[in-house]
Amino acid sequence: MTLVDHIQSYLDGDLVAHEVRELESALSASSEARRTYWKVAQTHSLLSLAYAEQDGADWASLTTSTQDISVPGPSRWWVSAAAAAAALIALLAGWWHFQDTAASAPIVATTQDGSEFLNAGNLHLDLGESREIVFLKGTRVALEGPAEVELLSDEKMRLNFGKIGVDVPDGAEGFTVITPSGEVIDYGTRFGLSVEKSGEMRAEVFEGRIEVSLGKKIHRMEGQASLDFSAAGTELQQGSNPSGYPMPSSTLHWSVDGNFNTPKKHPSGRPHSPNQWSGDPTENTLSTPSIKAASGKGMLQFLSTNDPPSEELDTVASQLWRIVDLHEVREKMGRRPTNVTLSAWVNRINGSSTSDTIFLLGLSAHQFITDELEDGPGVLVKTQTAIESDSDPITWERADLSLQVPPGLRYLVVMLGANENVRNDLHAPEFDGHFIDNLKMTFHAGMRSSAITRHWRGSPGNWSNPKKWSENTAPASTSIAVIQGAGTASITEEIRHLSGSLVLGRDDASQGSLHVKEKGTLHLGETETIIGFNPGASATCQIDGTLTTDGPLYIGRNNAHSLMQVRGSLISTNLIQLSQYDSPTDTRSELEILGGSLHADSLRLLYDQSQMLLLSGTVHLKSLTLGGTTGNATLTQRGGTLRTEQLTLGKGTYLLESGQLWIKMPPSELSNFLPGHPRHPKGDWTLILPRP
Amino acid sequence: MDGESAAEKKQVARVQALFVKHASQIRGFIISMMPGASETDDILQETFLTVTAKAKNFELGTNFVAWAMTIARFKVLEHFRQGKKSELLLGDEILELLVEDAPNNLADDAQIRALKACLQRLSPQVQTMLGQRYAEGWKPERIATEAGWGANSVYVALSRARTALRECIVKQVKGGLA
Repeated sequence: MTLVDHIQSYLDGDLVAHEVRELESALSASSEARRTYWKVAQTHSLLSLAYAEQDGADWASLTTSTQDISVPGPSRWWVSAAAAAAALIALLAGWWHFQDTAASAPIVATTQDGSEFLNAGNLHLDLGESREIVFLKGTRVALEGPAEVELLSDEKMRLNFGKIGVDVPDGAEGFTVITPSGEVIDYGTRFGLSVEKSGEMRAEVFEGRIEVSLGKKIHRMEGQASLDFSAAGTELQQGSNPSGYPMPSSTLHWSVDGNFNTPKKHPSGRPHSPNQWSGDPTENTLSTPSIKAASGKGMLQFLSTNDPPSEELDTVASQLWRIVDLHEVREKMGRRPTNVTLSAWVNRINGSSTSDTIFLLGLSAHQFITDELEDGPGVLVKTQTAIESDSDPITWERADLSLQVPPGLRYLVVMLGANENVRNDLHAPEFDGHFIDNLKMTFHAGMRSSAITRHWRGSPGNWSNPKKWSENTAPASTSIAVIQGAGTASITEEIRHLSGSLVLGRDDASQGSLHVKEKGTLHLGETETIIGFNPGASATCQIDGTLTTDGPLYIGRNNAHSLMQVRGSLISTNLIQLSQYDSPTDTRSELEILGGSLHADSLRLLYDQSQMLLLSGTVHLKSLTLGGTTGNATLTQRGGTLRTEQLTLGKGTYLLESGQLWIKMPPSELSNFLPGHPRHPKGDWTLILPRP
Repeated sequence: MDGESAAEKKQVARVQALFVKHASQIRGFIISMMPGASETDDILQETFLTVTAKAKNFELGTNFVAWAMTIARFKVLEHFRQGKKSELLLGDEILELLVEDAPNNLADDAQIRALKACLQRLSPQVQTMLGQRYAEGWKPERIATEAGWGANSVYVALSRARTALRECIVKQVKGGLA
């Protein structure tokens, strides 16, 4: 429950005693929380006042009647102050003199964050635009341009053309999308719908059930299915692909068995399997006379740091772990970057000056689970927080933690702990009354755009020829373009591929080749480009024209051989890296500047297989990283000019055989670099020349 | 025996007039402090009686609403203690903290006018639900049954409507419609 919900439930009289205590803790802890309280309370009291004064009358007239003068409700007190009552009536009458002349269309939805209303009416999105709207009934719709929609009510919209992803929560069943060729009615589910300007339509259900009415026919689709409607007829198929549609943001509350209501001792040792608590000596206990559970009748008590207590085994905290298997969560969250938040309440007995005061809350994301849990390999990201508890056993203190986890993550590990921060007593009781309760976990992922993969057909041809791509469609701006096969894809005109990514040679042992010819230009956006992807793949990219990118460009990921040759111009406002990951030594990631120019924000050669050759032309960099901590990357200059503002030197080698090397650093900072080479200070720059 | 002097009577009348003038503010304040609003009238009545009884303590020219709010806070506490529901009420210290932070325009005319303007912008269905909730005092479950919605959807719709109203009121009042 968010703070806003918590406050509202209080004002509605829906909270039970311990929840009221929780709210007290939150309000006493922060003035921000108190400001939130007043925001919620103000709307609540205004609504109560506005409707209460309609006493006896039809409340529905509240917003329609502007003539009647209403008198407040059964107010015994003002009878005894009759004189003043007249003033009151006059005052209240003033309310009704106000008239809203701008009678606009009803509000049916809000923006994703609820900060703006959306009235019934039309919405138009251009190419590349996307947004999420939330209907008042709770349905979330992600829209992707180009699209034209009309919001009809809080449970109905029209899609004239464009692409939407819809998430209908429980209770909002019946959400309807009207399209030029029919109607889609939802029965509580997630689905995607795309309508072409030509009237062709495709509906895909990812979860739950929808009904698609086309003329007199009704198609029921359940589970994972897709339906194509075109002039050629209607085709129903098994399977669906959520990544082809924009996906609305989603929030999921996930049970982690965090109420600790059933009295029991937790098993000792770190857990080996998901969905059970295990760790140092801890148990679920019932409320005691001095400490009442924060929720339900039980709470978790930390007993000691280890069992039995001894010098050798003693640790500094009593910890309890739980492995959370995200198998189901990741499907629901749609495999996208997700924010996990964890909240818990902590409390302890008053104790004495030697009572420990700190509690711990930890969260780690795992590719796989090892015995060491959050300290072991397999940890992708982790975070931990320490909460200082007060000495008042009546109040519970709240602890919050959040972690951004990668898409498709399999495991999370939750750690709860009480820290021996005051005195490490070796003999029981180490913790004389330390508790955690009401642990909650929430996942939240933002809206994401659709990604369609377009595959190059393999024989030589021109990028802009739709027949050369899967489904006879050239990659749209937002697609992932995958080029592999024996034939080179050529670019002879200006191509803008601004929101999608580009991969050459994706599959194992595949080949992929792209040639930006002299008159061709390829503009890439902020997403990444990878020249050579899977192990064994070979990829070549030749630039005789122009390639611009605002995203990272990896010449090789961990594949066999990647080669980029530049005779035209390569302009990057981001990173160019030769080999994204370290790979076996028999692989190569090569960049050759054979003329023309290269401009990049940063250029990184980190591994043995990262090799660059500058034969002629110019290279302008903000920063150059040559070599990592282990690999021996090589940059060979046999001509041309290389200028860089910064140089970070690892275990790499610079071979300056011919040409000029300019570095915007004073000669004194470059004394260990290229020993024996003549160097000349030129303003802020140092010019380094080949050995005579 | 009538011991009140003419001056005292005048003071009482003035304080009562002030109370009536700020009645909606005080009522809003009471609603803002306690769980459920069904007993607001009783508490307002009791507050009025105490304000009347203590009228001579009020210094004309000082902040009447702040003074009346302190009295209202005690009346709310008293009311909940009598009903033995005090565990459902926020603790006295918290209420005191909240009173310190209370907005001075909690439920003034401008706010109420803005609310009414903003209500008109909601869909009729949502307006109906707000009416059922606030005029009839129905719980979301009952509203849901009536509307044929899920209870959760009603919660969501009410919550969104309130958020929308909150934002709208801020804009209206800032926009100089007050």
